[in-house]
Amino acid sequence: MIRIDMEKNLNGFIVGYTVNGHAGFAPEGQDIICSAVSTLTMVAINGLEEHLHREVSYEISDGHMQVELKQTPDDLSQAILATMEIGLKDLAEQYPKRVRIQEHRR
Amino acid sequence: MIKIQLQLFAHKKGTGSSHNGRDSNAQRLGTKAHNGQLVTAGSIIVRQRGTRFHVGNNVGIGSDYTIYATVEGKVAFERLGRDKRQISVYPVEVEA
Repeated sequence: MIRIDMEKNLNGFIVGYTVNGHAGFAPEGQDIICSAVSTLTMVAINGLEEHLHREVSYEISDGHMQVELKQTPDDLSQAILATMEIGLKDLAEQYPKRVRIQEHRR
Repeated sequence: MIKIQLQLFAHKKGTGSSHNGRDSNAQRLGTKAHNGQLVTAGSIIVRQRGTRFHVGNNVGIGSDYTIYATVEGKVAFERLGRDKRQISVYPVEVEA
């Protein structure tokens, strides 16, 4: 099971997210759920860094990813992160045994 | 810019570890002298765990259930009761 934790500030803006675990849907190279989660969560980093030139800190290793927005969240960064969240929530709905997403306010 | 690793959250092949792979050394058990074979006193006839073979005539049994000859003679594997077996050694008459 992949566990996704969305970190939001008091205004409901996404300021970071953590992804842990393995989908276990299929062997490596054929796990479509894993690749969907990987793509959504990594493209968001590239969008923030390359397109919006925002400062992002991230830690990525096998079965683990931790991302944090280093600047104050704004509408543009939320456009990218909220789109990612919509995709992840959809995956969690379709594959509840493989993906779980939770929200945390700080 | 990060390279997208499509299988970041997939189970990696061959990362499992097995908890087996241990074994004790072979204890070389079994019969060392066969039926009708001539043996000297003190020679080991059978190494065994427990009494698979019981004590017959002219043999002794060690603390590890090893059966050995107490006299020189021929080994005989015999039945003991309905389903047990015993080992005996019978001295060989030497022609004068």
